[in-house]
Amino acid sequence: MKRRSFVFFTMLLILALVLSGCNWWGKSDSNSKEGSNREVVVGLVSEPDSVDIHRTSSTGEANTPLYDTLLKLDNDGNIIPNLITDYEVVGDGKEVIFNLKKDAVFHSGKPLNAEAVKLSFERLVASSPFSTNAGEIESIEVLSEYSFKIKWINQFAPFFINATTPFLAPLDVSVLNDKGDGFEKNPSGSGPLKLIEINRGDSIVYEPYKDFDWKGQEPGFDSVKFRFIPDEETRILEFKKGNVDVLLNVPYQYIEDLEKDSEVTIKRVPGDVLSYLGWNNKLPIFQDVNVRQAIALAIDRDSIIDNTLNGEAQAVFGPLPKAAFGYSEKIEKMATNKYTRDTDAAKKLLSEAGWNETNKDGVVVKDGKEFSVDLWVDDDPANQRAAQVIQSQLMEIGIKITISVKEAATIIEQTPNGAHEMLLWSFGWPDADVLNFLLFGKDKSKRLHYENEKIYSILEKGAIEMDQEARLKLYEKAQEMLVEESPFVPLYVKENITAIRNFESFEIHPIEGSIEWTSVKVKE
Amino acid sequence: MLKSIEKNNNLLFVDPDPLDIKLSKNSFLNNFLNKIMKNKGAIIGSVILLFFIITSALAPIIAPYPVNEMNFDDSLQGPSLEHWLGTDEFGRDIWTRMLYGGRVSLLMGLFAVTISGTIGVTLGVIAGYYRKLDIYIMQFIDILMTFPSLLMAIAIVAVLGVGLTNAMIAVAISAVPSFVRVVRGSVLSIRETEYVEAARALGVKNWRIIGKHILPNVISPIIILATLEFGGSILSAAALSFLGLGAQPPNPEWGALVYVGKSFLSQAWWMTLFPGLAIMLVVLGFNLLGDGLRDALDPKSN
Amino acid sequence: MSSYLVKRIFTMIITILGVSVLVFMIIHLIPGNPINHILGDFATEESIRELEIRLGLDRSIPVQYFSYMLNAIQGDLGISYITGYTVVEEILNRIPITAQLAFFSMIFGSITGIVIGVIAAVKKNTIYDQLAMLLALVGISAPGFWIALFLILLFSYQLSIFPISGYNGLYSLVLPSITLGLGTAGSIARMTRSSMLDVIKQDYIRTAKAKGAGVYRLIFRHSLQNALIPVVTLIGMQFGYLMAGAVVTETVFALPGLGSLIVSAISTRDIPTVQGLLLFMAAMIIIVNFVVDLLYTKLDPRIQYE
Repeated sequence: MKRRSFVFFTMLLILALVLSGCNWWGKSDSNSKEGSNREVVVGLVSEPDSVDIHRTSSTGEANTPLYDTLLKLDNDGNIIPNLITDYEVVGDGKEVIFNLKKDAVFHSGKPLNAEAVKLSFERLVASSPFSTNAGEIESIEVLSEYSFKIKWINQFAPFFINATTPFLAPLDVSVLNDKGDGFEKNPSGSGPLKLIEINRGDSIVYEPYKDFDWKGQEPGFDSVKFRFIPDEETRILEFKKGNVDVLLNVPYQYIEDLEKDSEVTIKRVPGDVLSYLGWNNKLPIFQDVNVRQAIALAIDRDSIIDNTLNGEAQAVFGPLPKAAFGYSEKIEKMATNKYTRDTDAAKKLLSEAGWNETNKDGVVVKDGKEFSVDLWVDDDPANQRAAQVIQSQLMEIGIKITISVKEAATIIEQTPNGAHEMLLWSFGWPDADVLNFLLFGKDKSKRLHYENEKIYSILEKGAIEMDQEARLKLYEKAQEMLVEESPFVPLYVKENITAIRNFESFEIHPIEGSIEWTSVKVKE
Repeated sequence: MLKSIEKNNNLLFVDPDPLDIKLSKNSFLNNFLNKIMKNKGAIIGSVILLFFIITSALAPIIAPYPVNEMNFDDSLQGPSLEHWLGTDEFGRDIWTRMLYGGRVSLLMGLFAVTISGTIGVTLGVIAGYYRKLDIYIMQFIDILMTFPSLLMAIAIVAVLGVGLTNAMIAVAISAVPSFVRVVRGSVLSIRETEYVEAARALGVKNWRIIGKHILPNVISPIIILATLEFGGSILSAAALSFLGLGAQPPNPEWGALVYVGKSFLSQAWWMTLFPGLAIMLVVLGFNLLGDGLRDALDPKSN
Repeated sequence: MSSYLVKRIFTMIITILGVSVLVFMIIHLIPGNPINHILGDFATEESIRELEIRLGLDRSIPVQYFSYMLNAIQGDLGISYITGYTVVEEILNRIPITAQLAFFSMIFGSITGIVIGVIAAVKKNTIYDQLAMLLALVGISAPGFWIALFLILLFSYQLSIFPISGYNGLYSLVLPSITLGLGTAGSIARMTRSSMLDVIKQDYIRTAKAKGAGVYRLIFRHSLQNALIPVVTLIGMQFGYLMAGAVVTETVFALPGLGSLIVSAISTRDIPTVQGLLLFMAAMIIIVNFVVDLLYTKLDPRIQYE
């Protein structure tokens, strides 16, 4: 008996040891921050699915610093040279010649020349879900070591602004295996951070890339660790404890709390992501413009912002956020005047649309059917709270909302088929072409399913108009119509709130909202 | 106890004298009540459950505030005389929300047990009685049993989609295997008894044997298991809601309340503490009652 | 014995095959097309077609199943749609954490459970017994996620004894193991108590008592050892429970294990990963139960399988 149980427990122990590997008392690169190791720990919500920019569907702080972009935005939102030093539009605007910065080098040590950029574009077109960002490319021609020419099938005006995003950033194709895969294991871009290791489910660790242009200075840190902590509460506790130096997307309910701590600095940058209340415009219930306008009039943006986002957002009434090319002060004013909350006007519009009876629950009724719709919202706690406030605001004009929380993946997957009724969702893109390729374009209205031939044609013209002034005019026209038709309710742009501790300097790009790694300097 | 029912059924079969049956039923009930009343655990469990059942049932009457009405001035208040258990991020009264949430949680448990019990008992009786089907049903149940119930529920929710109803279905399906196992075991033992053999020999129809002799005899293990599974289902449903897969806000299901409260844990612990406590107490209540029932109904415990 | 072994291995294989069919069916019932998710909003018909062929989704379901199983037997569970890693790599990356978590919560659960169970059995029908059993029942009844939140708040945040989240050596596993082990501890305590009471009733204990063996010597030498046999079986059965509990525990403590992987894979519709993980976990559970069954016969010479 005794011998047997001894054998048994030894076996169990061995089993466990074998399964556990030899990682018993922690890794050597644990959170200790002694000596010269100036480690920056960044806490963020979710792990990017991949660091391969042609594969990932989640670009963010943890994977984009691998890449340096072709063009850049300055602090006022103007396009400025970066890897591309200058370009020249030739012919009828379907061809552009680009000149590259000389002597740029990938993390792998390979030169970043015209040939490399061409290969990167070819892989983008062949395998990236975001290949539409490059436009419909007919051919790429290498003209010399550092210059190349892209030829499009049609003029593609959004290319230059798209080239400021990491989606079009050059990726070192030479590190891929013969199947064109394997970038995760040996990634190589030309951005400020070079990969050290990926710990799936836990963290990604980078070091500063010494050949990056650090603006004449030494990098102000030795390594960066991105830690993925999905749980809001846990993330905040880790920051409060000092285990995390940079906390991205600070939960709104904790901002006040953190501001009391004198060591903590809160950085606010206006975001470029516009949250909106949308619906499936193909549904009969939303056919009447009075109904759509009534919903817009029932929403009190300030109440949502104050009570669920701690006031850390900017109300938006027009279809585009301020950060996007195509935003117009005039449209924003017009929309604000038209849709500032007025429940009486909303109720009047509803009754004009035939919703003129009210049942015992206070819900408006038409032909014996009550106005009740399902609202989809993702699993972000702040969005769920906003959905509940919207629910109570719409109830005030007699519209009953039920809330369904869906994973973001489900929403992205099922809304193009029109499985939803209403949704609380958002978009962020630096160019007004987003109105075309995502929101209201012909056969491209993925979430809103809005059909309006006039708007289609204006948006299509905007995509190929190479003259900036004329482009702005087109988008202003389109937005005017969108405000009138009210196919969705723009709500607000949340501020990007970052909390930091122990930095001599730390900047966030005011337009792009990303960390400027060249400015980051850890306090010694 | 099994013995007393067996006797009872023998009587029913051999000599269906209504007076006799009544007598023996009464004595069975008395015996059962006697045992239950002596079992402290069962009493405590029943008291806990009664408390939650009554308060949930009376929620619209005794709740001090409207359940979903927001009052932003009162948000995140700690427990006080006005708000016994504090308020949430929208200034809603936690006590009120827990009263209404109790209705959801308890009903979820009830539905899950009813559905899984019905399917499980049917399959269990078939497997135990019709020996030819036994091996197939049990092989299938073995396969289902491989997945721990919560893991299976998560997989089912992945198929059906997130939501209260789907979570309930998932929990119900994942509880089926234990019903099948228990019922099949009991049916097997009863099937071999003399009076069932006799009934079969006399050419009594199968469904009649099942209805008259088998089912009444497996009722006590079913009651015991149903009580335990009731608590287990509430716990699983709460876990699903906590993972964001079950009830959705503003639904005040207890697991969903914990899920919401978690975002405010270090600021407003009361949002998390009380709903979790309620889950624990109710599950404890069912477990205590289930244990008590087992002691009272199980012949081995004599 | 050997014929029993053969039979047992045979049913084990049948079960694993059945599980694989079931998992495959569940996965193919998941609504939504993985293609839509991978290609996102910018899919063209061409790219959809191409991807279908690349992922083998253009073939019939039985063909897909057989080719999947053929690969699975050779240790290839496919490539994650999302991350580009193979599913086997993802599992191997994360298995140490879950294995350690399961192991330590088992240790915690067994030790606490056996101690509480022995106390209850020895002090049968006293207030200690009742308290111990109430405690065990509370362990079974309390929602683990809720306990975890307050453990974090108290021990990690207020008292700074343990790390709040993430994995940094075994220290990080103390609170998760306690959380996960509570239910196990409750079950084991109840099992220990009842099986000890059973053993104490038996003749050889009475004989030993009559021979004048000391009470404590008696408890440990005779009754506990024999009482542990059903407890060992229970430990085997608890393995599945631990796998499920790991899903919740790993999510709360942000541990990169198999449980948190399955949650994130489900939410991103990463079908190969979900499928591979379910299959892998089920196979592990089946195998562990098999091993425990065998150990059971080794442990207790009275049990013979024909």
